[in-house]
Amino acid sequence: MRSTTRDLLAAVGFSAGMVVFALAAYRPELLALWIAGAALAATCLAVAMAKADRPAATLGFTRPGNNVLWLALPICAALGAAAGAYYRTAQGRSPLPMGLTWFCLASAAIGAAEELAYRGFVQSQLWRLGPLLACMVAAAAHTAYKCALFALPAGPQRPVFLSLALGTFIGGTVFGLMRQYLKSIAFPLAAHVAFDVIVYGDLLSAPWWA
Amino acid sequence: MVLPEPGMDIRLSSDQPARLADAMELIERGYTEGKPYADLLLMPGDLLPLSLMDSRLVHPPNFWYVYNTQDKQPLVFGMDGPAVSLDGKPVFLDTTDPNAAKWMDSHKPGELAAIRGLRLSGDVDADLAVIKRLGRPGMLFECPKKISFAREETRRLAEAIVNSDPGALVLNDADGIDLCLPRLKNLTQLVIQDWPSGRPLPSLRDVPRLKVFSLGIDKPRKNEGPLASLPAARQPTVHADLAKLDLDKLPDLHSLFIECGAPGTVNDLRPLKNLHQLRHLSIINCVLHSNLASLPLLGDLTSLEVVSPGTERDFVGLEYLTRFTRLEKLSLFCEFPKKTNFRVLSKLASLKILVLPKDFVENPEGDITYLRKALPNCRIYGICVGSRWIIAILAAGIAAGVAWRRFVRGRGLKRLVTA
Repeated sequence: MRSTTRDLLAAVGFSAGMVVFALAAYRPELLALWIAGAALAATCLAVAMAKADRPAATLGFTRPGNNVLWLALPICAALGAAAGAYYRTAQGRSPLPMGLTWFCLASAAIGAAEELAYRGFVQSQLWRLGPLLACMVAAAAHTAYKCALFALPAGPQRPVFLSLALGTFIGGTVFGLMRQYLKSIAFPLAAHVAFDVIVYGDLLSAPWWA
Repeated sequence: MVLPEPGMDIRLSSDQPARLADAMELIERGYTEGKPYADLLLMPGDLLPLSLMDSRLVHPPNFWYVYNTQDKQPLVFGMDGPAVSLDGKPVFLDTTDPNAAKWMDSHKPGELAAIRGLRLSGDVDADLAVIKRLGRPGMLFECPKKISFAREETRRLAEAIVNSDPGALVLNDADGIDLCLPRLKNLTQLVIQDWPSGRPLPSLRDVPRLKVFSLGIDKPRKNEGPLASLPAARQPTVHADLAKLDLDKLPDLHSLFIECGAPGTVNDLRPLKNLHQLRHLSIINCVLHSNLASLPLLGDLTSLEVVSPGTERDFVGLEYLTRFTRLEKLSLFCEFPKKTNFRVLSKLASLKILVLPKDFVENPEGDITYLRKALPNCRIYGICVGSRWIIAILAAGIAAGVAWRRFVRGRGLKRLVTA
């Protein structure tokens, strides 16, 4: 199989698996579907990693062409933190958390995993589509995952899907552009982790969806 | 909470999407399941915090609604400038909105007469004028932190509120309310949002008509966010001694909410024994000294909610709960011993909503399958695996990919062949 087709199939398979996983994540009766989705996503990632010339690059771990670009790392983290502060304010909360709890580590890990999955893996697999389209398709896959996560919750909580989808897509595209033009996953990773730590860092317990 | 009569359930239309303000309340009260409205189980007179969601607004309006069975159903809430309308008529006015005065001037007295609730601004002169214009017996007043019944500068305003004979009060600073309670003979709903921890609780014996009492102890302060922050959790233990509330003097009380923003203590549930009308009991973030078996057998209790950071000993009484045969809603957000027998809950045949901890609902091998079969008319909520599993998926994929490379393409295969 040509590498281009394989890359695209891996991205599509991974994204589809994650959507199935997310749809079934809060329904015990859909456990089999949940396992199938998770297995499909993990398998697509494993195959792509196994076949890749540089496995680390499959997840976006590359060095920026110019070392000066590393100076952008704290700027990206600050942008993520500023977005987090705005999000908190929009929710009627204080802009910054009053303290940090154990959940800030968990939220940072979840945010980092999402970046590695979508800006790292999916966007890397879609490189043939061109930089902008790859960013947007990866952001769309991330958006589909996020919406699926909240589509069939165990409880009655329903977010406003339009704002959830728009927020994830726009944020994902910005993160994708960071990864594309700064040539490393480290930049969106720092931004997303900073965002999650600011938004969720003071929760005493995990929210229902985590 | 119970359906007062068949078919009298309140419905929130999602034409103007509405949701309950509090996420925990959302879990238990509203559930649309794809329907254009949410069915809520409410008692007449129940006080409901609501907020209208509108993605165009940074701060969606929130307000209080007292369930009136005369209201046309399904309830369709909407926005009318600084007011919230119900079925096209303004029912709640937020006077903190800078356009509130202009809005009132542009409406006829007949239209303004439909207003049942006022959020006061704390500006004494402006609030006095609004109360003079719109106030009438039985109204709901939401008072901001600025309004104190004890401070000299707002005493005139407090007097005006008391003299208007309110039906419901939502207080953010309850200082001095003790002195006013004896004069509030027709008060049926009282919400105290921010009672200072450690301060003796107000006596309610002089509010004979009280039906709903909600006490928030040391809830997070302004700018602390909706969830308890770490500093709040570090505060010393809060004492909410139910005996001090003189609850046995409140024959009409049907809903009682006690919420400790920081983990606190409800010493004893036995003072509830004379509340024969009690239908809804919520005890949130309060550690029970004795287990749930100390809860008196209240024959009409239809809704019980316990959200507790508590210890295992609190739930020795799970079997005991099955004696509450009229329970329609049971929420237990707590840590249970690993070998808890949830099957006993199947004796609660009238149960319609059951909320249990996530680790229980996560386990399909546990009692949940049995309960789902035994209680077919009951919706069992819980929180399952969650998005954190994305980490495991990613780790599994990476590990499998690396192992595959090493085995098939590299040293593993070579070693196998040479062996």
